[in-house]
Amino acid sequence: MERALSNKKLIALFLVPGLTVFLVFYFVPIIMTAYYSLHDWDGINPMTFIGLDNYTKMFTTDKSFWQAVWNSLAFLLVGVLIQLPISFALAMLVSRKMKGRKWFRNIYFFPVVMSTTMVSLLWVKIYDPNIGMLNTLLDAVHLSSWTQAWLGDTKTALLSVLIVTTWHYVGYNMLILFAGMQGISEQYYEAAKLDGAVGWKAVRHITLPLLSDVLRICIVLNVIYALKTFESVYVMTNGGPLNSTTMIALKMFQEAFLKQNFGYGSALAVFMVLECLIIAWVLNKVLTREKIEY
Amino acid sequence: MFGKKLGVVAASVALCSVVLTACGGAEVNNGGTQNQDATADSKESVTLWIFDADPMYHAAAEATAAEVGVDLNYEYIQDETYKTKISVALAANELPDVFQQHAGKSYRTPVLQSKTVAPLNDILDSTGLGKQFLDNQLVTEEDGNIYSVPSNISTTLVLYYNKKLMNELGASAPATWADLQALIQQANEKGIIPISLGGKERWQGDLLYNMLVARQDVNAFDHAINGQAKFTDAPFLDAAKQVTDLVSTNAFQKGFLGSAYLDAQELFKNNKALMWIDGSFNFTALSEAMGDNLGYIAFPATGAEDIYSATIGFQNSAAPYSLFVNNSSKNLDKAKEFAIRLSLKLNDEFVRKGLPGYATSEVKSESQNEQLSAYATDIGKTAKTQAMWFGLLSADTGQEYRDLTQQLYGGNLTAEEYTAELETLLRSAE
Repeated sequence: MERALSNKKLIALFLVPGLTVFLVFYFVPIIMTAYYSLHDWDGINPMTFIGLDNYTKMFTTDKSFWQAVWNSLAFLLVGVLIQLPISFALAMLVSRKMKGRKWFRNIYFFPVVMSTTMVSLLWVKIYDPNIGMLNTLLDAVHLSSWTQAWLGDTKTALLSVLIVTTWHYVGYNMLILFAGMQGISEQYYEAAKLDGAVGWKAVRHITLPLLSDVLRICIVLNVIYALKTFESVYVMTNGGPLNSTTMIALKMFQEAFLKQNFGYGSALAVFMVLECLIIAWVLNKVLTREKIEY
Repeated sequence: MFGKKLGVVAASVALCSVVLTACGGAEVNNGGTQNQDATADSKESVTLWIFDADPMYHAAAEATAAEVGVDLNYEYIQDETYKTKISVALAANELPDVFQQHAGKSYRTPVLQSKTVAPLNDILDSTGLGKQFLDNQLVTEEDGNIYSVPSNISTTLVLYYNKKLMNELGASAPATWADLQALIQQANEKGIIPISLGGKERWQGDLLYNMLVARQDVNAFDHAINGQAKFTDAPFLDAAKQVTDLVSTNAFQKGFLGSAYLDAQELFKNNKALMWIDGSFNFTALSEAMGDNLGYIAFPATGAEDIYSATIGFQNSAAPYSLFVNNSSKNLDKAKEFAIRLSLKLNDEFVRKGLPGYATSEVKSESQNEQLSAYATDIGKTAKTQAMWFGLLSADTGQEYRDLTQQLYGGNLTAEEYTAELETLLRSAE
């Protein structure tokens, strides 16, 4: 057995199927996309090589590109700075030994199992400024001045979409963090209690440090999700009004399939892949620390 | 030790099983395909993609399939989704046997350039069905072939109004720009949405602007696109100012830029909005939903031209709503015959409704509602049908044009800035 495991040819043989699948379905499309990005191509007629023109256009003349980058960053920041703390607080709440905690856990997690399209359509109805529940509710409690054209106004559209994605995915992070909290031995809290570390101090000195690996995973997942956001924006606003909610993934789709600029759409796809890789790599570097053991 | 060896052996066996199963599966699948082919030989099938929601299309397709003797796989795909799906199918060469395509150059050109559609001349000639189409209703392309048959009659932009709300206001349908402005003010004072507009998809606002320009000068677009005039000239500028006036006087519902077409339509159908700007293709659906409450007028005389000078058409003679046949279809001849006969059957349905068809028909016109009669009369009097601009532009320019017009509606551009950018965009697209 040990001889078999030290046989590099045999190991390579076992790796072939997985590697082939990876190459064919992941690596080759990425390379092809990079190749297309150097061409002017409508997806039907022959391609024309234009070098880096698509990238030049992306960074210099396409105004909505920078809007899309900013929107992606807004999604990223909200995911990490707002959604994650809420998830953490909820995970703390449902990990307490209280009556009905399973029920609460399921309730908080419930939106995650709903499809993004369904959630987005639901919120489109809620946000509808003329017949939607939100404005009606505000009117009913005499807060008519707070009513807005939520998804129809450039000032509120992005925030409205961010609220929905936060509501939708907060349970997902909560569950991961909750699972991490369950892995922390009760002994640490009891020992800390003897030293007078209770409440926030226990969270600060025991829970957070011991959850650091889980938190790192949550942050990376949130960041990648934020950068790749598509469905919710597509359904709720289609990037509008006036590009105020457009995202790179949506822009890529619009360029390739509506405007039939497959070359430029491919350039956006390459940018998105690189953006995700670089940010995920930086986060891994920044957030990696020595494993804490008590 | 023995356990680890066993593990490696088990893993190897599992891997071999997967590989062998895959091979075996392929063999079984191949056999399955052959069987399917054998079954298909007994009765051929035709897959049809349609984006038109009118149930008439499904009924006509079923009747045509029975007539031609094929099994029909009918797939209705929601209009906006369809536009994406057909683009992907074209690029990937994954088209169904027969498919509908929107009107306009931006939709028709990619289909023809993809070389995936079959010429229909042979079947049109051999069956004699080609003779039933009226003059110029079959588009002959540069290579002398006919690649499509019509799937819809010429539809135009109209202004619908809600009679109940109009009566509540004690007003009548607007005939001029001043009437329209007064009506908007009156509706707003009563808390009624004057005009419901689906801004999310952008096309309604785009077509309204086309119409406002045509009312200023019926030939403005043709002259400008041919280089005889500029898109910064008075008709374009005045119409753009009218758009900004409409926005500033709250002519549209709150948040209209984020409203989907169907949501905006619901506001009109549910007595929340007074007016609705849409295609004549919606007469049937709106009549069924609103009954006698549906009112219609030709678009008011908002400029120097009168209401019969022109209307905005959803299609043009070179790029109408069409049915195409995939040249890779397994049952190519049957698919071609199916498409041609379906086109003629749809024509019968339009004629039955009292609308002018694109082919001869033995069907007699049934009694039609008052609004549809009025529309038929108005269309008869209308001197010119200006094709919607979007339909005359390439896909990328068309989309950029709609984005630009959206900025006018959103207040990001003044009328002057808008027309200046319009001139740059459309001039470069020549």
